[in-house]
Parts: sequence; structure tokens; C-alpha cells
Amino acid sequence: MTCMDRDSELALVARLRAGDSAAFDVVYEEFNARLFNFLARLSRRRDIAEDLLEETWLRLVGQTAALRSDTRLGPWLFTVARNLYVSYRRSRLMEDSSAGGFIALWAFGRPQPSPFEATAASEAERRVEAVLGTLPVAYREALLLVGIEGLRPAEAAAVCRITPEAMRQRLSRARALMAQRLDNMSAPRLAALREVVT
Amino acid sequence: MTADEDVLRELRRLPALQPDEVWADRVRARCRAAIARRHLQFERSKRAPFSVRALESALVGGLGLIYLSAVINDVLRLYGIG
Repeated sequence: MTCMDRDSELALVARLRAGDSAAFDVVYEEFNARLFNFLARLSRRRDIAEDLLEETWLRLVGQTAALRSDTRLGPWLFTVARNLYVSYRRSRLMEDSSAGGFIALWAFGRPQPSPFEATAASEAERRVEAVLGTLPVAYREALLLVGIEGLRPAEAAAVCRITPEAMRQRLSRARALMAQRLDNMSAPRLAALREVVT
Repeated sequence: MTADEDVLRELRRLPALQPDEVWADRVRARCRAAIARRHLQFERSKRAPFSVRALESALVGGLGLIYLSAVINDVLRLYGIG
């Protein structure tokens, strides 16, 4: 979620429009990892996420002078990133449900928890990542934008070019579907545990 | 069933993915260079005297007019009017 207040954002936009590369650095620091997370979880591929992210930044650089003074940088950048992904997907007819390779997405060098915590946490995280990867793209992008990136539903609706009401419905369905699939995934494990106990 | 709120909580707990640092530095440097280049071009165009800018516009306009008149001439000739 962004830490940038609106006044700072407007000042940054003004500096970007004037061609201030230090302002670009601030925007890059603020959004690079967030955009990468969004694209990596949307595409399920690090290399594609990096390519699309590079193109997103180049689009910003190419349009700094044309930015409106009241531009909201977060929604603007997520819209460009999302549109690039949609174009990419259209052109390549990418297989949507390739959840198998998602472990390669995970970061290296995070703080090290205890082995037990690591196993438990990674088990839960893998479960969530796997289920997220099985959702239709429309649901996945809604959950990523609102659930992880903290965009308001109205902003996420603008990014996805749908009405706020449609976004609320999409979010609700996405959460319900994800909850159901998480439950389905947990049920066999619980049954196995019960067998061990009894 | 897992509640909707639990889903959002679990999503927020997912670890942040990090792009490759070397890649990130390279992209940043490329973008900074592009911004600097555009800024320089903008400054140069601002500094150019009015007469130079007017001459550029007149030249582009003149070439456009010549091209347009040639097209019209060809069209008229094709229809046997000219």
C-alpha cells in the first residue's frame, strides 16, 4: 500500500512533467516492487513480469510531459501494467492456469524464520499462491489490486476498465471462489489428520 | 468455509516478490537516461530563437503543401479533369 500522500504525489507529478530524474527515482522506489508483484502474480512468470515492468516504466518516461497535473500515479501505473499484460496475453494466448512454476517467483534473502515456522508459513503461502494461480485472470487481478496493493475498489475498477459496481461484484465472487478452493484444498489434509488422531 | 475476510488476510500475508536487483538498476538507469535526453531536447527547443522555430514550421508546412498539391494534381489527371 502506498505511503505517499496526495500533496507529495501532486508535487512529484509536477517534477516528472518538468523532466526531473530525481522525481522518477522516488516514483520508481515507491512502485517498482509493487508493480513487479502485481505482474508476477498475474503472469505467473518472473521473466514476463520483468519485461512488462520495463515496458511500463518506459511508457511513463515517454509520457511524462503529457501527464495531467492531477494524475494519480498508482492507478496510472497499474493501468499501464495491466494493459500491457492483457496485450501480451492476447498475443501469446498464454496458458492461464500454469500454477506449477510459481515457486520460482518467490524472493530470496527474506528474514529467516525457524524451520518449523518456515515449513508452516511456506505451506500456507504455497497453498494461497497455488489457489490464486487457479483463479480466472479477471478475479486474480481484482484480488491483487485491492487485496494486496490496497487500491480502492473504484481505482481498481478504473484500472480494469469496469464500473465500480462491477468491480465490487467481481471482488465478492473472487473472494468466495478463493475461499471455496482453499477449503477444498484443506479438506483432504484435515481428513488425514483425523485418521492419524483416531 | 473460510470467510471472505480470511481470504484478504491470507493474501496480505503473502511474501513480497523482489525483482532482480541488477535488472532493476539497469531499468532505472535506462529510464533516467531517457528522461535526461528528453529534458535536454525540451530545453534546446525552448532556447532556439523564434526565427529558427518559425523557419522550421514554414519548411514543414511548405513541404506538406507541395505534397498535397501533387496528390490533387494526380487525382485530377486520373479523372481527366486537369
